Amino acid sequence: MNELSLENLIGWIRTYRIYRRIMSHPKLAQPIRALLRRSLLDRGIVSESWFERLVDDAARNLNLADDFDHRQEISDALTDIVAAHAFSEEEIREHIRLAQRMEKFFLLNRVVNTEGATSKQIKKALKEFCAVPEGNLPISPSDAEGVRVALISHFISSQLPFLGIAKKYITIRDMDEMVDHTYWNPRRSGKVGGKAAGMLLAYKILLPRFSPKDPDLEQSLCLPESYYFNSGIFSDFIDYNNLHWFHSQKYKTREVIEEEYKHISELFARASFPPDMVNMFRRFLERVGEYPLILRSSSLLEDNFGHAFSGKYESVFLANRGPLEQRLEAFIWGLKRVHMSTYAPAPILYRRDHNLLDFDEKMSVLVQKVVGAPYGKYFFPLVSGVAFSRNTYRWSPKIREEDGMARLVLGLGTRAVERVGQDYPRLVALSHPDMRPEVSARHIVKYSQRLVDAINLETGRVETVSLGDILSHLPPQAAYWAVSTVEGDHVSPPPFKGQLVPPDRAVLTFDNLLRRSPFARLLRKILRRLEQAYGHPVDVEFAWHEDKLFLLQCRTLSVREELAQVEIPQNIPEQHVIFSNSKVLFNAVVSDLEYVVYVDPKAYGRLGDETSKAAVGRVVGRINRALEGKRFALFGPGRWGTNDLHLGIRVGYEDINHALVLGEIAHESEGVTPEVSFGTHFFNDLVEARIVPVAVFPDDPQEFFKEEFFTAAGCSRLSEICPEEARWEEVIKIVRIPDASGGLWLQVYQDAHRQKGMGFLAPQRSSRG
Amino acid sequence: MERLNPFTTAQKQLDWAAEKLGLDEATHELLRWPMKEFSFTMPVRMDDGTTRIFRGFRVQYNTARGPAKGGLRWHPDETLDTVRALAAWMTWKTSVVDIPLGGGKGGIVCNPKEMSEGEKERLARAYIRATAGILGVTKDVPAPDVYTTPQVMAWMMDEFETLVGEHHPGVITGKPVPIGGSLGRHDATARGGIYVAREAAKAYGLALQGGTMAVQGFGNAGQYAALLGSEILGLRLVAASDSKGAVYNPKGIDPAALVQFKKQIGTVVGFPEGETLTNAELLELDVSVLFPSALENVITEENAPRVRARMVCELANGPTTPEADRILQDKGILVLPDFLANAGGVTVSYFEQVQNTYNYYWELKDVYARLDDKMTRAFHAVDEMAARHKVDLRQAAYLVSVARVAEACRLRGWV
Repeated sequence: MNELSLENLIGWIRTYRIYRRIMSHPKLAQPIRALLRRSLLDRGIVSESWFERLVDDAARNLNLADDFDHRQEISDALTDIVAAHAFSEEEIREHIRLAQRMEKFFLLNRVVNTEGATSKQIKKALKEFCAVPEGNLPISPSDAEGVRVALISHFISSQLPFLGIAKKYITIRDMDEMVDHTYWNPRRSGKVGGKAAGMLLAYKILLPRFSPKDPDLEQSLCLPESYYFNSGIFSDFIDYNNLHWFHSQKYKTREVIEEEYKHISELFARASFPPDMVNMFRRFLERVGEYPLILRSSSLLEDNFGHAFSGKYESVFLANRGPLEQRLEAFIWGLKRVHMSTYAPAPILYRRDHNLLDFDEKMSVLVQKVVGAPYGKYFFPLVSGVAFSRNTYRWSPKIREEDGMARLVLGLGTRAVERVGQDYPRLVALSHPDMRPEVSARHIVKYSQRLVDAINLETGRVETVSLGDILSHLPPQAAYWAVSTVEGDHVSPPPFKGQLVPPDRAVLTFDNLLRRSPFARLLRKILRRLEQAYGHPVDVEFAWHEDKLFLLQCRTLSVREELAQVEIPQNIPEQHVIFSNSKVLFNAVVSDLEYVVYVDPKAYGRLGDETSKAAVGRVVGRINRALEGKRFALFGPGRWGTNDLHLGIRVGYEDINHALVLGEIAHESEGVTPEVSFGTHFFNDLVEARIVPVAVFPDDPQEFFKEEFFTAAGCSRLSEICPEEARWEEVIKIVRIPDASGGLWLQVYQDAHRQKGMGFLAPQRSSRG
Repeated sequence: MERLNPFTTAQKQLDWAAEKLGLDEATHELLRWPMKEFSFTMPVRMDDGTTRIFRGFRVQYNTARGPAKGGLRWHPDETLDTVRALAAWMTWKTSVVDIPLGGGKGGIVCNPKEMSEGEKERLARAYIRATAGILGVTKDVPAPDVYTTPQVMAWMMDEFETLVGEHHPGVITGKPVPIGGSLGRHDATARGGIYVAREAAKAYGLALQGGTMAVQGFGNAGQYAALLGSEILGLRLVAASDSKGAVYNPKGIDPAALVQFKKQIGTVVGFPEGETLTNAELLELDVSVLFPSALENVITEENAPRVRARMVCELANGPTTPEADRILQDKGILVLPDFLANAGGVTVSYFEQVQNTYNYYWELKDVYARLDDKMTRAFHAVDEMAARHKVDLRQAAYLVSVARVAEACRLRGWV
């Protein structure tokens, strides 16, 4: 019996062993054999036709009917025999493992695409898939994409524009990591919201899991430790406390919303989270320990493409120190505050303006460890700020728009995004980071940041502290990056890290950061890549601490579609010119303005007390509503929307949103003033709402403002338009232009290219629809 | 309104003084023009790899009394005529405080707002390479001016020393203190003005101790005027202003607290112990001394009739228009003219050069004592001239300085 040679017998024993091994995974037998056949074909050991022929011959030889089952049986046996001949036992085991992984993938695919699958089920399938070590799975690209999209839309966002980009960068394993940091309610599903989505996606665009990574970014870019409390927690909270009536809040009038919002705070204070949620929060706080936290709103609409919701919802800083129960109490109140802001007037009115009111807005909370370190009793990051991929702040033609700009502050970034008046963040043109429009020491000091936002670890609050106070706690190695010494006219950054800068002679310039660290280069690279990936300009919030760049937020930026060219009409009779300005931000033409609401800078300055000054903002808000639908411009002293009443009128977006032109009359006698509001939340709102900002410097010999046109006796319509505010007649004038000019209308032209703008009277233009 | 050519203005001022002093024609003609002018081009490699050609000037207006001395301006609208006029004024200024220097000025047509630090450094060094032959402690000594900073001076000094191969810190003044700058420069302008005010008060019988002061323009000079006015003259600060407005308290404002407030908040407006005032109202306060410390043309024909200060000490350049000047004189208000009152700065620059030359540095108190001596003597010389010619102090200051330069030219045998 030649067939029973030892060699043959060993071959059969190998075949038997393989058969046993495969059959120990009965459910996987088919996929395992399919993989083995694939490998045999791929390696050229057998060919498709040879295999088929053999199956035919065997069936004939064995006198078996030519049906599927028989063919399958023969094909399986042949596979086992040939595989036993061609592969080592280790190779066979590898094929079995691969089939196991594939199985997990198919399971995941099935679960994510099952309608009504719970987060828990998906998480389980995701975990099982990811528990299998990474390897090259022969998954078809379309299957993989399907699973990615399903996971992203279940956990992160189902906004189509977001999905379209995210599916290219966020992998299944990235989702697994995110889910590990997600807290949710077992009764409700939910998503992590826009802000979290934007941050995650940006990070993955910059450092993709499976593509080659940029070594610069790999070394320096990170995300702060982040946890996602998804929107289900909030929905459940509303159910648990029977607060459903809040949902219709958004359809009420502004006055009612404002009035009722005052009570919502009390209701929220009394309302409670279900015990299992409280336990979850407690476990979370035990996990993160005593470390300062920021609770950031991350609503479904927020950071939606094209609608930035700049600063509309609340963010809450927590020092998070002390006994666990005390920290828990503060944490729960923080969550409530963020949730509560869903019903605040500003975001509701913003949604109303942008046709987003009917969307069922849901709030998630992104909880992050605050980037920074304790310095004395304060906790803050060395540098934070906001950066834009497009630079609209170009004081020199050599500055490249496409290299972006940044606003830098020492300490928490809150000071970079709010209009803080006399305090100036460092504005950086990223194409020329060490160029600045201020040259003399006097101007450098004047246009610098003097106040720092930091968490006071003793009081548990965010406090605004003087730079001197902060510097007395900051070691020279840290201060090195941010401060310079001023000695008379000489401003110089410390030459080495051990150099002590006396706080009374320190000015924040960030010179060493910009000149001697990779910061500016990294930021430029990040902005460019994000803009490429999004196909749209972006802004990011960031912090820089201990040589790492932390990405805190990223969103697409609303950009004004600029008119390519504006030609200011020539030969306007001098008596028809109302103002001319020479620092122009955008190309714009606003024709046929019917009204100008004019807050008289002198009369405003004469208002002695802060209460009256604050009241002016409220009256402007009322006029704004009364003139809704009319074409009007607002002109007033200094900076609109500032916190400092001495510098301008305190208004929110909702107080000016119907104006077409927002004019700032700045009596500034010291030459060029940097436009410090670029990039603030308020400025973003103007850009989004297509309101044209105009700054007039009447003291500048190149500019002009015809004050008397507005102050002429008897032309104000305030008492007609807002009779209840008639007593403000001295300070606020409403001029109906055609009445005051004998039938002409105000035309505003702004030519950014030539840096020339003009407002003049002319007959109504027929071209306007 | 067409802008006057500044050099034409400077020549007119000289013409008046020449007539008053009875200068002979040759001397008058010599003083009407710069003695030497240099005009050159400088190629500078820019950050983007391109080369830009910058234009530069240096004018040595008159060196009869000593090496030319004057700032270096970086300005996009720089012209040779501006540089000529400023060089003439430097000649009169060094002369009025009687320091052994002539007058000069330099400029580069450039916009530092559009240049990186590297580009600025290369431009500074290029300027020195173009002018090294005409600069030096014994020839011509530049200093900071519009848009040039102590850092620029440091680069220039370094380039000069590299070219000549030896140390010459005195070739430039206004350097950072660690590489040869003088102590006391930070408050020199205000301090000089305060010394002059003190002497003027003595001479004209004004009691300043316990009196009041208002500071228009609370920048560097203004802040030191408030601090030193209180410390040296015993004046009470009642009001101070900046571009955002003014703060007023008739009971007095602590200058140190206000300086601190301004440093933190960025403006004097909102200072808790005072009420808000406009800049215009500040100028009309009833005070012993008004210090216009920031801008040109703040006291004009329009508001001069309402100025009620007893003395106006001009720390800024040209704060009073010629028309307003006449009104103030008619009202009997004592005006201490800018080029005397703010000459403390150039005097300490000279001290820097002196210290550099003998390579031994003074203590702060020595700087103050020597500055006091110079300013006191300068005031009395001007005051005597005013009495002799029955002119006001501004006119007298011109007469003193032109006479000194003319005398030096004569002694050298030039005319």
